[in-house]
Amino acid sequence: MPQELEDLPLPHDCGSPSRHELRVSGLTVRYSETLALHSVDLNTYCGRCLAMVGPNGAGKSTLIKSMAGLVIPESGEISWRGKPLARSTTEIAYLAQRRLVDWHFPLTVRGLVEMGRFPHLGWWRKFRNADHKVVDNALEAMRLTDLANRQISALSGGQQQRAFVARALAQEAHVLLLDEPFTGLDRPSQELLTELLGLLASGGRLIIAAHHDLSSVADTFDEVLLLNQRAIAFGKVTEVFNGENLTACFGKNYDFFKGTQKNHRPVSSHTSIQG
Amino acid sequence: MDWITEPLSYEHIRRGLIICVLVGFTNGYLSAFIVLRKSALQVGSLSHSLLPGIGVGIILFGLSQASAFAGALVAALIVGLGSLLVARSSRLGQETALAILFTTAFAAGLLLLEFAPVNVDIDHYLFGNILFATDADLMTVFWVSALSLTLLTLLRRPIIVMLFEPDAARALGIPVRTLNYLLLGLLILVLISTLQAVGCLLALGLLVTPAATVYLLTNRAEVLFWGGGLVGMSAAAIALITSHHLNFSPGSTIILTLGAIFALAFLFSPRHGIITSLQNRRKS
Repeated sequence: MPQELEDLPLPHDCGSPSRHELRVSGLTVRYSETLALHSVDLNTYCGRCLAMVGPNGAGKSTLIKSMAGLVIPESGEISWRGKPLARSTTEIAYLAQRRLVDWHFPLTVRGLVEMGRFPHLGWWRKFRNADHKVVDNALEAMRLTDLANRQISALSGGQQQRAFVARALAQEAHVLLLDEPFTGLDRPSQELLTELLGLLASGGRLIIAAHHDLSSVADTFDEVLLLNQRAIAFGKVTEVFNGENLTACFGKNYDFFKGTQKNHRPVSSHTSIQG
Repeated sequence: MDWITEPLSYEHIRRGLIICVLVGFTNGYLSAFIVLRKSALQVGSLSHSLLPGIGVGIILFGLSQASAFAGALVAALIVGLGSLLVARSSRLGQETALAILFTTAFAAGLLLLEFAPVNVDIDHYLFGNILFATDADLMTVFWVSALSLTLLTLLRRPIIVMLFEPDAARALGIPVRTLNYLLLGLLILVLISTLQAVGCLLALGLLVTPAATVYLLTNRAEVLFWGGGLVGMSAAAIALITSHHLNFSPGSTIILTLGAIFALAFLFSPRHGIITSLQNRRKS
């Protein structure tokens, strides 16, 4: 692992990943009359990289937001490390879809990453050297050091996404909840982000992402939740990411391989990015 | 020099100038939040909703500064908080809810003032007259400015995160709802204290233009606040003196001065100016 990632503190020892469990049980979410999620169960551990896959309107964003404490479920619960997920916790970082962010907000990359320190600093306390160090490390881990003073509006899509991940690192978040992080990124940016997220997972963080590009699931993630209001299948990508479950999730007429290369079949064998 | 000292020999202009400085700075500082939040329409609605409150206040308690103030406060609270409620509890967006509430309130206010038992000069509330301000007005403006500037400075960190990304702010444990109500409350207080200077129609200009101007000149949120305050303050002060010499209405002159400064920034801003970018294009 690169040095700068080792320098980033994790809030808790993650030597034994099985201790840090994120468990969703019987989660049902309703928006006024519309049922968004119906009795979804899953449990995963830190060190994993989990994709949520499903058609539009399947509830991927809703599930991400529920985990971030932004949506109040009708029933069911979400627990992190054995305790109910409080409405907010510094251990969980929520990264909204890039298109929902006001990128013209007058803010530099460093300013954005510094926001991650606010939960630790409270509303008034000044930045100390240690805080600046954490911000520096987060920028470096996401390969943004050279861009630190650039306006966020002047970043490429991949850089914007990495800046958000860097903020989560500055927050010392344990769980990263990403809503469609790869959408709109060019191929090199996607590959770099895949590599960096993989490194974070192998460093003990839990990565959960809503994801729509079926062809890249196997290369990027090691666990997958096939979601269509209900959890159609959940487990290791190698075990559950197959044609039968995909048909159950997306329906028979869905063109799974539209615009994708032949050798990116979702059922291809995959190598774990945890190494 | 006479140009400045001559008007200052009048007491009502001295008082007006102090009010201009306070109101200009506070509004300019607050305008940074409004520009960052892109909520100018909401503020416009609020400023209009003050009128019916003044009408009711005067009908109930007679024509006085205090009754107008109390009425405006209650009306703005009802419209401001009411719009949040309507937006939350129905499928209408908050902007739609506001537009309905404030046009209704504004129409009701005009009607009420027509039937008020005392002779009320509607123009006075619509366009303000800073030269008729009393010492009581001055004290109101002072305390409202002190309170809002203190609170906004103390809470700037969580407020900026909230304005940038409300969802992430909530996930970070920032009480977004409480802060929103607080901002709205301060906005209403500042609006009411501004009423005397420029009236409820023109208050919107003072609450939006200063930071919008600075926004064209800077990339740093910090500069937006102090810069907005300085622009608002200097524009209001210069406009007051100018209006005395030209025998213009002070309220309109303040807004026109702000508009002129904005136009200059819009045309000549080094980064975002129209003319600047045309010139750069020609050079390259």
